[in-house]
Amino acid sequence: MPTPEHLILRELLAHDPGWVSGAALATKLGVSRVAVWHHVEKLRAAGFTFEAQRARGYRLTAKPSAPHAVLVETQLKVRPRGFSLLVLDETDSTNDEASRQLGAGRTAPFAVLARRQTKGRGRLGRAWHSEANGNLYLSVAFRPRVAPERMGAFTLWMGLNVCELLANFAQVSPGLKWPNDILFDGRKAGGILTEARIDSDQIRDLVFGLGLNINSSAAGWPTDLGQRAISLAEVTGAPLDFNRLTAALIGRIFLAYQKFVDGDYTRTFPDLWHRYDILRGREIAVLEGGRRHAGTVAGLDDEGALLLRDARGRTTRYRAGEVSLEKTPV
Amino acid sequence: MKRSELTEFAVEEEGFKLKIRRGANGFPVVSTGRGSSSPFPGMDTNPPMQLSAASATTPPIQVSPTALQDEAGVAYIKSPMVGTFYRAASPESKPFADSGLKVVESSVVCIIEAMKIMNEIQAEAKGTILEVLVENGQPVEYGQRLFKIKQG
Repeated sequence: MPTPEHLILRELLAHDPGWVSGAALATKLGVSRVAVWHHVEKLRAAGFTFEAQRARGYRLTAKPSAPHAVLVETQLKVRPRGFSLLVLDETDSTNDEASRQLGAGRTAPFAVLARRQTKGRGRLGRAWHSEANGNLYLSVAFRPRVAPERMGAFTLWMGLNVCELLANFAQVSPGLKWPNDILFDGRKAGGILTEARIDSDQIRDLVFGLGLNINSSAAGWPTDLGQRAISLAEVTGAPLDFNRLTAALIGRIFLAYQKFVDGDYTRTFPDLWHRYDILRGREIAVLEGGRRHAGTVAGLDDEGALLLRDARGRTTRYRAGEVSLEKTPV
Repeated sequence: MKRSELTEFAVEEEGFKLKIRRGANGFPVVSTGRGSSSPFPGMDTNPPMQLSAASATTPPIQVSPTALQDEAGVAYIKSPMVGTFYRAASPESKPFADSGLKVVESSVVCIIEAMKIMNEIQAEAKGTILEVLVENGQPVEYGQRLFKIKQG
């Protein structure tokens, strides 16, 4: 059930930047104009600013740039049955919180969003800088009940979908670096961490985690990250509407997940891969299990494993590992 | 096959897969299956075939990867997938399971990274870990024994 705040925001967003009369809102909500005013005050406390004029009603003048549950939910265009959104000021890691919620029986799918993470992490427990700096820390949880081998190129497929959404949303040119990084001009803007819990040969719990630098400024990075990290705002030159982008991303994640489990992704995958893959033909090294393998990227196999051609012309496939770029392209 | 050094042999062609591997008792184990037809036309598929470096002690692949009883009271936690075996959540953290640890069905014993998904693997049996059979960071096959446990 949408709350009165949801309904008011939905109306105001639909007319943004225009006016909506208090009487119209009162009719919509089935309450008095005084009650409308009361709900508007609640929204004000949450970081919204309104202009109110007796003759014209209300209009939105500013939206909170921090994660806001109602703002995300009202702008969500894809909403699976039973979906819920959890917005936290702080958590250890949204993936861990999602995993705990799954364990406690929360209806899936659901999303966990935090303003800040105290133990943000990437692949193999590596730290992910997670200050409350306008960046996204999002996890979406599913209960797929499929055999692990059916998940094939899931993480890559999801990464490609995130790239395409960003390209369309902000008119930018992201690149996907196998297996789970989103880059702009060689600098990292996002990372994906997919975690699963296996039970009797089936994936019982699946958590898709996305860390994305949206509005952080270059000055805010720790010095060791400054050269390697970038935010969308730095790419576009202006801050982005955090909650609108988050809603768009969550919607896209649901659609992409659904297409994947329906097997309805194989036609579009190669197209997306060719558009966003940044490694093809590049000389790289894969670090795997403490060993380093150098070669030229030849492509992907049908499981999403990376194919690397070494100096002797022999091709080897890597299912997991770390990629470092050997040379910048000329 | 017995006379050769080969412990595993696989043929894959036109959607048909044949795999022969020498079992622990020296008898070949034959498995066939539909080969994977690439869902990504136009991409580089079919990497050169690799002969897995399975040692002579590698047990034959069994149908169920879950803990199956072997000798009296001893069972193995087996890999439900092909991937990379990790004993801990990060290189700095404590391993999930070591020899002597008591586990229940839902205990997480390791992580297997497969296709960019970090999979938490549960013991699915109750008992005490006797031995960790795979080194951290090593690739594992479907059905491969990961832990030896004393049930109960």
